[in-house]
Amino acid sequence: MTRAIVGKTLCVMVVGALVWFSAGETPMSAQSPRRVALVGGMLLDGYAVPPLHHAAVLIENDRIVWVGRAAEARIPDGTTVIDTSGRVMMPGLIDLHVHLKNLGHGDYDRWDPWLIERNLLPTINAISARQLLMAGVTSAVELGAQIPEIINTRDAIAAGKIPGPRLSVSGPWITRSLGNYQPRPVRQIQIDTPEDAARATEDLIKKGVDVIKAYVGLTPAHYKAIADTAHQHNVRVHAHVYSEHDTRNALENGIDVLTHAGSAGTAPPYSKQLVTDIVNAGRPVVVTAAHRSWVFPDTVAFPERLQDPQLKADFGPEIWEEVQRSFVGFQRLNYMGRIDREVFFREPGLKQFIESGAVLGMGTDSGTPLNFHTEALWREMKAHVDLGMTPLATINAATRINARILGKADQLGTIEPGKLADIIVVKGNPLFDITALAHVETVMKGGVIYKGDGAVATTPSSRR
Amino acid sequence: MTARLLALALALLISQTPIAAQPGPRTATGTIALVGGMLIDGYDVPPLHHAAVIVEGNRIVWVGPAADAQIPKGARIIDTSGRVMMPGLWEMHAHLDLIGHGNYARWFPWLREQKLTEKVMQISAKQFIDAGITSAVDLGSPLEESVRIRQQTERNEIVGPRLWISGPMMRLGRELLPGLGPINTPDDVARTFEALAKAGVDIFKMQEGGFRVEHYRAAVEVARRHRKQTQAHVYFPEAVEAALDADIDILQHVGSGGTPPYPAALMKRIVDRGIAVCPTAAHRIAVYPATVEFPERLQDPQLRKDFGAQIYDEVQASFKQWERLPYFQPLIGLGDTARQKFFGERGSIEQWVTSGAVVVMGTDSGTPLNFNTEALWREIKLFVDYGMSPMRAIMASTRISARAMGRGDDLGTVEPGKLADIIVINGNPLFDIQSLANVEVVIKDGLVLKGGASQGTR
Repeated sequence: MTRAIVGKTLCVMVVGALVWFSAGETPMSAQSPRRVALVGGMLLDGYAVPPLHHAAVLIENDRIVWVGRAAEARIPDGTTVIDTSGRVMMPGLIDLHVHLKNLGHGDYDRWDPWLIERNLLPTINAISARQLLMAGVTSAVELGAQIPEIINTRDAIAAGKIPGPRLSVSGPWITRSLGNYQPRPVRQIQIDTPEDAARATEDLIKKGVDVIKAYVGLTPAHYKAIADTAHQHNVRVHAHVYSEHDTRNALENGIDVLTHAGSAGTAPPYSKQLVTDIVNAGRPVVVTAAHRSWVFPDTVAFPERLQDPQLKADFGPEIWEEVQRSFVGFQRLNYMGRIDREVFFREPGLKQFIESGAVLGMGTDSGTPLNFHTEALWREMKAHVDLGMTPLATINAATRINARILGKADQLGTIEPGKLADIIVVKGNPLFDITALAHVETVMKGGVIYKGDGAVATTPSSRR
Repeated sequence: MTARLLALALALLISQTPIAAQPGPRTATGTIALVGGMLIDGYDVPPLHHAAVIVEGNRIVWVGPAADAQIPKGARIIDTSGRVMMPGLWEMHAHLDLIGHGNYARWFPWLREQKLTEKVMQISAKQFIDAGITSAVDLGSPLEESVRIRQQTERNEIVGPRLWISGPMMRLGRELLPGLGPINTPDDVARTFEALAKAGVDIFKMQEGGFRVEHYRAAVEVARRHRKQTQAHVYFPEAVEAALDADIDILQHVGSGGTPPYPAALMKRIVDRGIAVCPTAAHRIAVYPATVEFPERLQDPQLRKDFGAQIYDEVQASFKQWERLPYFQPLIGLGDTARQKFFGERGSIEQWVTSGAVVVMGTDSGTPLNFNTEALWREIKLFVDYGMSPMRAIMASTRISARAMGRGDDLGTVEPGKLADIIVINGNPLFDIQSLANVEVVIKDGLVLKGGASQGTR
């Protein structure tokens, strides 16, 4: 019996090793395209239709070329076949609001100087990028980072040098007052007049950002100047807004995405009129509901989440220890200073948009205190499901709708022939329990597998 | 690279060597410390954060905040940071000779023909451990195999939970043991159970369908004499009444058979008596719709690994057109899935949540499409979906179950002096009960049977 088991084990290992070598080290001939087939699992394609059972997806190089029932798939010779039996295939997730320079550390006033002193910004950007990708996030919008570092990170990911989601970056946000942030890394551009705002927008776009982020406290004239300038370049503007006043100003002056609106308990729910106007305008709202308002109570209930071994593996000892230090007495963190009010308003704040039929995108503010890249998006999605959004609608929001909000619906967000092959495979049925999204087994981006069977090697960035 | 491969090979070999490869019984010897995770101890108290549990041999010797733990030198440390530690789960209604095959009429002859009964029971036993189940009650597997498997798990010769066994279940008019004749009178009941007691079963199980209170009384009388337990497989109010009249120990299946919620007077009797009820609610009524929504679950890669090719292929063959399986399409109302769902949603499950009855968790696991790998979390989740608090559901499947089986003094909680049956979960089950599907470490009787890579010694 023992010998049989040993034999079997060795056999499996040898086959495994062969696959490993052929995937990793055999040079591909230039003529034949790289072909991968994902076969057997249930498919959620990103549309509002029932899932396709026992499906197959064929990929050629970075594109999806065929989608259908596995029984009808014609898989060309030389295709790498990934068995997804018993699993769910779905489009890669998109997070419309992330912060790569943050890893969930509790206190910006300590974290920012600490990482600048040690020159860790590129390293930390890379850790965050990898964490997001491993959580199934294949595209993300970075809203508020120092340039050129964030542009370098974006480009390194695009060039395949480091693992991470496709990034759209805003660079620093545009604001009239600097607010309570550390001076470095430089994440804000202070402007005075609407003309300044237009110039700053122009300048950022020249430097290579993909989106513009406009902060609170701008006047209608500022929002209009930013939006008009950005739109001349086909660039979209995300406004960071909470109050009724700012939200309305952003809505009425051409801002493309209302991010944070309805979250953080800075205000009771908006007036019916404002919500109706947002819905009528079809203006996307990215509530970022879970950061603080769900994350804090969940941490109180289960503080052990702060010591998740995945974080330890991802961060490396130096960063891990600094982050852990910041968690001592986490309930006293400045960032959580208004938590009672935020929790009080969290449900009406989110429900006003779910129940009104607003165009909801999904974003998380991930990286903010206690809000780890490893889990921010499924927490955000679970908050939406708990408040009445169907799991399918929530998944579609985080994929197809988010791709539309990004302006990349022709390339991303669904699984269909012609689109980029950004596909994840999860364990469990997320339509039955949305937290199945916490169990991402396979991540493919642009036809390359970054996690799961057949993955390219990606060492944790902290050990580079 | 070669060295790395070799190291990998060795690591794989070590990690995959089953304990069956080691001859003879195994007992836990050293000291294990589980350190850092949140502890749900099985009592109705808030969890203990950043806890530690120290195990010596097969007993828990210390439980408390990790900061206060004095870990003996040489202890094997298992870092449970970011995880949840809790008592091993109890499966109060298992069938080790079933593993989810769709059709009994094909399965049983095939098993006998291929002489696979014992092997299948071993597979089930390992599946239970992997699912975090460290104690299981088998209600109906063949007698000889049941006794053998129980012994194998007792001695830790195979990976499996602590087992309590009934052997085959008794039905009116059927012969249960060869040579003893069909069961008709209370005397027949007594004679057969005397023989079963001698053969070494722990539980007398009777299925409703004509048994009267006299039959149940005869069973209870023999059981008391031999210190055995009695469990009744009952659906209809009259059968439940008869079982209660005879003072049966545990009511199995109650409320799950497509019967309307019980009359208030009967519920009051059940609650007043404090008798343990094991509704086995999820098989069919949760499993069937889950399969409609996600038929891919039938091809979960874990099943293929657990079963091996021969059994996997036979099981898969039984799933063709699974919606037509007789198990889901009986001729009479009793057991009909649609009917069960109808009444389940109209109070048959809720009656247990809202009445204060002593609920324990069992699943009829192994019945068609109801895999041992996941039956218990589905059962628990169903109760939570119908309003039972996650904490109460967890207690039902740990401390309360242990007490119902008369083992509350040494099992069911994580506390000093108790036997070391402990599991570690990824995720907080009080926040999302489905975390119970993510069992990372299983310790039974002080032996680490799943996960738990040592983080060094102290």
